[in-house]
Amino acid sequence: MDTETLTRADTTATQPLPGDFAIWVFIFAELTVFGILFTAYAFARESHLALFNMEQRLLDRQTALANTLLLITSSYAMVRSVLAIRADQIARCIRWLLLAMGLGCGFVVLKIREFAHDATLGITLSHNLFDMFYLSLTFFHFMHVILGLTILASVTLRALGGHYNASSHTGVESAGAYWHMVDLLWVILFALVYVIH
Amino acid sequence: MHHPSPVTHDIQHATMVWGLLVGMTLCSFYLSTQLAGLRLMSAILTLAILKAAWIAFDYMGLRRTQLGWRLAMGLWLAMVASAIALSCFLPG
Amino acid sequence: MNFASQRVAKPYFIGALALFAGQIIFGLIAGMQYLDGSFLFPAFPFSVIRTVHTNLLIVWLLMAFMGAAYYIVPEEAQTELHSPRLALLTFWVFLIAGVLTILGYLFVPYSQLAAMTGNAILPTMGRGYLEQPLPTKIGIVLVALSLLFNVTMTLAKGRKTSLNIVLVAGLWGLALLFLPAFYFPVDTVKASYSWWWVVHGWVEGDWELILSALLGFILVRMTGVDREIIEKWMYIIIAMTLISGIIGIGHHYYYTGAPEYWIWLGSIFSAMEPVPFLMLVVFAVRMLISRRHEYPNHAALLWAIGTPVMAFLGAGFWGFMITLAPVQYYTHGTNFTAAHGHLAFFGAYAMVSLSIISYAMPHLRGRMANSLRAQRWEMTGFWIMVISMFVIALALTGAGIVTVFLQRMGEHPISFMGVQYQERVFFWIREVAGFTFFSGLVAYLTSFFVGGDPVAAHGATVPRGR
Ligand code: HEM
Ligand code: HEM
Ligand SMILES: [Fe+2]
Repeated sequence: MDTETLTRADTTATQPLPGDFAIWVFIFAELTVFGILFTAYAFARESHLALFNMEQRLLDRQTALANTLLLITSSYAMVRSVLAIRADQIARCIRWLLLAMGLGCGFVVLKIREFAHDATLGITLSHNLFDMFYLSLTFFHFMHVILGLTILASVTLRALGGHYNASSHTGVESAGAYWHMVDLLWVILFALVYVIH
Repeated sequence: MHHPSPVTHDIQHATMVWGLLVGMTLCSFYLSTQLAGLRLMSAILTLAILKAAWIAFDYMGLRRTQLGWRLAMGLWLAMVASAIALSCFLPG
Repeated sequence: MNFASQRVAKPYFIGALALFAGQIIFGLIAGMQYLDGSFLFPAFPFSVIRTVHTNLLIVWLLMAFMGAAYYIVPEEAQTELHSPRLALLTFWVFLIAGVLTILGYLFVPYSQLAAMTGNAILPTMGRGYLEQPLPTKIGIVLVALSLLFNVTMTLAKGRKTSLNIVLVAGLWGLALLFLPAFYFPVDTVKASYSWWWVVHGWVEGDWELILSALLGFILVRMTGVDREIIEKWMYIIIAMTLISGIIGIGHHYYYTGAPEYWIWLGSIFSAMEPVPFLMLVVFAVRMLISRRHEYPNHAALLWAIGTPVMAFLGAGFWGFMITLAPVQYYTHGTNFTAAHGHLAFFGAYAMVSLSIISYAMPHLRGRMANSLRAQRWEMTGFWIMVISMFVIALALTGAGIVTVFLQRMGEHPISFMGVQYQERVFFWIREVAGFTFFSGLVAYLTSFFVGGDPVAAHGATVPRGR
């Protein structure tokens, strides 16, 4: 068997986890926090159905849709940058990273506008139970986008400094895994808070 | 038989996943604005979970790793799925 | 030890251990007063003894952290401490101020102490752990500023490792988070906010940074595992600490007059607070398994692995048991809380202090590790203290559960003192275990005076500058 068949065509073989062990521990801890938040949201909605349905109608669903598309596409760019560095294409890896960050920044801008708009509507943590969940969930996620962007920026800087190549790029993969998590959480948040009502 | 180069194959795969995710997002968004009722909700449920699973297993690179990690992610998805299901099957 | 200026850590460590012994003695007296209300009364009422017990705890932990900083920062920065003389001076100022404060508590009635020390000008006295008179509080700030100046200057001129940066940042946070202690409004809700910013902000936020930096340092030295791996763990543990701990402060806001959303936010986020403690355990165990060589100081290894385990039990497990709002509704302020407070404070911060002392003291005394005989004494002390503390926590938990059932749940609740009487068997157990704890402490302190040939390094010591 030649090496190519060994590494790719053999789909049944297990592969090591991309990125660092430590980042995965972190990712699962984070997923658990959000998992608990989502579950709490669902139970709260169950017991305050009328309120939630009414309030959910007021959300800016178009912006949320745009944000979902931004994050999904940003995640795609991240995949491409990991694939690029695996193929030793450093310049391309950096370009994809920059695109991923750009799309992430787009999310941040739209989200800030949405928060600003919410503030003018008098939506606060104390306003009612739905607003409490809506604001905490989206703001907490927003902070994760910021953290993810920070991680991407530091990886980009290291890539520019020539730290990564085809045989050593754990940093890129770890950042990628984290960024996909941010995306994954938003997708569920989108369905749970904005879509299902 | 001709094999595409591994990188090309991965790119094609990632692009396909991206396309599916975008498609499903638009689909659930559209359905949620147009219709109502239980059947719609279960459709959205399925889409949301599928979407999440896709990201997790493909983008995050969990598809072919050790069983333990896939199991952990499976459990997490089950947890989220129940949250979504609980929300879906309540009448709007 | 690579730098002469690290020697200033020694008086800090010795002072810390002496105050630790004092803390335990006052704990035993307080425990005695639980059994016999007239013990030492009216000369030394329970409230005073309790204040001395908890204040000595805070002071000795701060002293140990400072000693650790003076030891670690130069070594990590690969340069001498900016000013060893300032560090030494600061030690004496801190010690004298601490002792004077304790004497003030003991021999001047608290209200009079408040009047004497200008509490009328800026009221700060009275809240738990922050009982210090105004001059002492100001003294603490000055001592902290001196420490921060010294270590930051050292860091600035030397090698900037992640470990060192986290440690120094943790010390800055410690000082900044003390400032709300000066804000004591009349509004009890606001007063309780600013009290928890200090207390919760310290133990479930900033101090966890210091904890992971100290453990990280010891593990880098003792296991020879790559610094990069250890630093990565440190970062994710810190991230998880902050993600859960900052909003987790809400577990102190339930039913206090604070907005209702804290019931949700506090429950959800504080429920995640055990995670970083669990990660500390996984981290320490993995580092020990992948160690590159045998480190001759087995006692220090024992402390370093015992710390995360006990911290997880005390903070993670016992904390989780009482952290959800519906549970707090019944357990708030019972001995369940005291059980958690004891096991968490001891398991996390007392034990990490003893770990760094165990690691550094032999170096400060010019050897790699103490004699095997001394190490046996130390490890005996470890086990006796750990097991006794565990028994204390179990006894207090028992008492807490009885309070919940008899005083807070039944059809016919019993009065506070009536319940205390029902619980006296637990208070006896606590006191007996307290005495065995003290004997463990004596064994531990004895280890410093046991002679014998220091263990030579087995060739494979950690290379300088790793
Ligand atoms: C090393 C870390 C920790 C230390 C040293 C510590 C210490 C303490 C102490 C001394 C108290 C009593 C405060 C008072 O005087 O009223 C307390 C209260 C409390 N702690 Fe912790 N704690 C730690 C971590 C945690 C964690 C991780 C949790 C949650 C999972 C937690 C949950 C609580 C709760 C809910 C209370 C309030 C109890 C009450 O008011 O009755 N603690 N903690
Ligand atoms: C070994 C013997 C010890 C005994 C007999 C003892 C006894 C006591 C007693 C009677 C109290 C007062 C409880 C109350 O207000 O009802 C107390 C409070 C406290 N002690 Fe100890 N203690 C001991 C060791 C320690 C140690 C080693 C630590 C920490 C390292 C510690 C930390 C604390 C804290 C944080 C409080 C305040 C707890 C709260 O208010 O919930 N004690 N102790
Ligand atoms: Fe707390």
